[in-house]
Amino acid sequence: MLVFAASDKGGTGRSVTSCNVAFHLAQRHDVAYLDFDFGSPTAGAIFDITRAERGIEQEGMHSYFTDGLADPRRLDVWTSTSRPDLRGANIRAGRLTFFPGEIGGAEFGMTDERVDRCAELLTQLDHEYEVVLVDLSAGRSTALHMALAATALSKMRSVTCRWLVFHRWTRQHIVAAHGLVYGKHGILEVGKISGHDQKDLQEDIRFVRVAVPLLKEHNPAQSAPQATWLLAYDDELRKLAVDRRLGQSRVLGTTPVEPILQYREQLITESDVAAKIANATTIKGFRSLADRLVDDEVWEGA
Amino acid sequence: MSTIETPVYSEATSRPAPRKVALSHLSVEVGHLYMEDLTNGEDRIRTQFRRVAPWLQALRSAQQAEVTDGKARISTCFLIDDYFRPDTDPSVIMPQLLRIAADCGIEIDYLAREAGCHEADRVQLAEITRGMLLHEPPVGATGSRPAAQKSGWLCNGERTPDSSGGQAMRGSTLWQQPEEFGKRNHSIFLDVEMWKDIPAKGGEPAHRKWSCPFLAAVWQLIRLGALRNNGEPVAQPRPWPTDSWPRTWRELPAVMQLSDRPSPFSAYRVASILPKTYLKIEHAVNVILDHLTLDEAVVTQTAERAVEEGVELPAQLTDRLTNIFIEAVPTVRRW
Amino acid sequence: MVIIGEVRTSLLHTSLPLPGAAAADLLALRPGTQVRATSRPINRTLSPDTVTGVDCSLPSEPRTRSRGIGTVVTRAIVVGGMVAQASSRAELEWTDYRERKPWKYYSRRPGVIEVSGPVTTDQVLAGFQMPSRQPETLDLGSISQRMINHVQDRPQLDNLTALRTRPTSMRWTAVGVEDAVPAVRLHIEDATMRTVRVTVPPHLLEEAVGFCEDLALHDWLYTTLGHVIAQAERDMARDADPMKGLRAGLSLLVRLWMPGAHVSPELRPLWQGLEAVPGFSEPWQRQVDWIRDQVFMRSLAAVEELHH
Repeated sequence: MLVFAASDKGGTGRSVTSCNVAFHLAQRHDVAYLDFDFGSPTAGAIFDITRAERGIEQEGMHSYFTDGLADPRRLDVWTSTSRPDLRGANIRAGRLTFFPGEIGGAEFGMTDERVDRCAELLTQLDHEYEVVLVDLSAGRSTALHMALAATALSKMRSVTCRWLVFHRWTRQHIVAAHGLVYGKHGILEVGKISGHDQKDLQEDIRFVRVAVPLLKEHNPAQSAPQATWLLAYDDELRKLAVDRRLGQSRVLGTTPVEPILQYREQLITESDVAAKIANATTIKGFRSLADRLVDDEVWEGA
Repeated sequence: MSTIETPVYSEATSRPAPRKVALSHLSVEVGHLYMEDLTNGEDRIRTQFRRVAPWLQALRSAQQAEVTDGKARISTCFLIDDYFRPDTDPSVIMPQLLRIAADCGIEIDYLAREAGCHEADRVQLAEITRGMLLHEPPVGATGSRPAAQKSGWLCNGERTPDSSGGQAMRGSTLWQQPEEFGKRNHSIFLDVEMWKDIPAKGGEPAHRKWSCPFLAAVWQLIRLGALRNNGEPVAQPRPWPTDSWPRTWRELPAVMQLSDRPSPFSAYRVASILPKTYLKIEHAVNVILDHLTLDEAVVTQTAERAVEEGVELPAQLTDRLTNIFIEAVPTVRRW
Repeated sequence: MVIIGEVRTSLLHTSLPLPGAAAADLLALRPGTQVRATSRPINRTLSPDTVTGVDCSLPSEPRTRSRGIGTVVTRAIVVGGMVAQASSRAELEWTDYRERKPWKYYSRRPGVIEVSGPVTTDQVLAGFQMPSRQPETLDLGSISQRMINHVQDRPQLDNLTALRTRPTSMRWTAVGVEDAVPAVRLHIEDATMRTVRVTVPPHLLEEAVGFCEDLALHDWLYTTLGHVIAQAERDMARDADPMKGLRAGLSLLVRLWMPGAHVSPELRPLWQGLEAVPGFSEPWQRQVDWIRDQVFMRSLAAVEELHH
């Protein structure tokens, strides 16, 4: 299964959420994580792979596309991470393989040849991993366009593809996410031009709401008027989301506000929760996203 | 090599030895004319054959001097440009062509069609040749990356690096000159268009249009007896009566034998006597031939036969090619 | 005399094994050149060789200056209509001439790389056996990988898979030594990388290519069946159904096990050595038995459940 992680804006928590979802999936499946955030390849930092924090020197994803490199570099997250609590934590875990971008790598143009290479890589990995998670650059990027074009090729028809659109729980983010999917030059329009059946493609898209405040919890720091305002505004956002076709039936999941992620993008593990550094609800959110992502029932008709 | 063969078991699916073709000592291409020249009166044809004749004679003598025992086997041939101009009439062109050649003392043993270098007897000769291409690596080529190729093009060196389509914000690099591989002090860089893929248009399906130099390279391979289709010889000459020509070239075999009992069509060595206008095409042909991987079994066979016959044969294919360029007849402008 | 090579082995992107004729069609990569095939004891199809030009340093240990100019030949292999291999190889020939000759000289010697510089045979052999490839040196792996990708991308395949598997790489060297008794050393580097060193008398050097391809195939089968079992155990540990993977493993992989079947009889003793240490067929059979037992017991349990 191929999973594409997209977002209209940067800073939505797309990469950190994707990494955490990959981490949970890898507890029971073989998972590949591809850094297609070509302008800013930093997923290595989230996995705490010191030698690939901002990408690797050479033979990364960029070279695969721009130089015709046959064998892009793979890093096994379990053995490359510098976090001791990830190494050998689960003896029955599947593989989690990270395909890093390159240090100082930048966006590049799309060509037919690169679309073919993209399809070739994705097909190859789909035959090797149960889940291939592709983290795409924000916005209407080459990465997104290339992914849409590659998956529209006839040889890719038999491959299951799922598209996740990440957005924060604000008016601007909801409007932007709507635009990315339904708007001009959005996923559906570009997908259709690339050769996708628009209806099928739409059914393969789900939204992920990131860093949504949990308003029902009692917060002593909040004044009563503030709490009332927040609840009312939250309600308004819900209406807006439904109105913009980002409603609950199209949502794969929600992650709560997690203070440590505001400071440092990283994997949240049970040991972080046990040490009371991270909230249990956060890990629950990621785990639920991972479960629902591979649950076929969730994806049958939106 | 990997097919199992033991005293008690063998399987017939391994590749059989390629079939041999008869070989002359020398094949001489006696001139070449564009279709325009063939359809514009007799003068140009006559002038060219008159200029070709003494060189043909010289080649015959030179070849005979190389053969110590017996008579040298030498055949002559002529190639018709029907690939780019199939719209002309053989029954008009051929009688005149053969008559003028005979007037000038040239007997054409074999007539070949350029379209036959694309496809002969339903065998795609140009496609087979394309499959033999081996691009030359630049210094530092480890195999990690595919050879920088422009589809349909072949060059004898390293092209100017492509600065478009790279990564953003990498800055533009200064222009770099192309460079010929193995140059001597200075480069003579040649980039040859071998084919062009024509997309489907107006009812005509998508197809590949081969370039003149590429078909000419196939032509030399056939003359050298170096092409095989699954081990079988290709474009073998078929006898054709010189007094009966159809209205279209398509109805003719790829290679026709016109004279009685000539020496074989293919040869150890080939020579082409051509107007100087073909210099650049022959340069391109040489570049193409130098970038082919040949069927080693065929190469070995030919080499062994040469040894048996006492023929000294250069190891490289292009070293078996001789070009004689004669003064060109002022031609009808084609462009 | 030295030949170096690298074999990549992977499951063909097809839901069902390709019949012999379809495999031949799949590997008809070069017009005018026949595909070779043997059908006994199991179908094995070989593509015509493709040739790649190189001009680069060779891996060496300790690192020593060298320049190798020439060509690498690559072929694709399909075994049992199910497993795809790409095998690249080149013979190394030492020369004192340091300049590059005209290209036609090299294009006429497919599969020969001329080596110049102070590097010795032993240094190159050691360099080639290093766990990770030295950057900017000869890269047979990528050449093989491109061939695998090309084959897997062919329209003859339905692009479906019943089993997710990992490709493996086997980097090998074969040295021809007068009067040598054939010997082999297999080293498992990590989950996907293997190195092999073969010594044979010079007249069997060419046959060593086929042996290494056969070894790579069986090492891949062995590794892959191990993954099938690991995945099943992972499923069982979390109460998920392991049957799909186990069944696919049984039906697709087991019948391909025939070490030495496609190896020159003179090199079969190499397999005997490997069968003794580390052992191939015996542990393979135990794995197969385990899978059959699981499938059998689970089927039985399912039937019993029906009856209650």
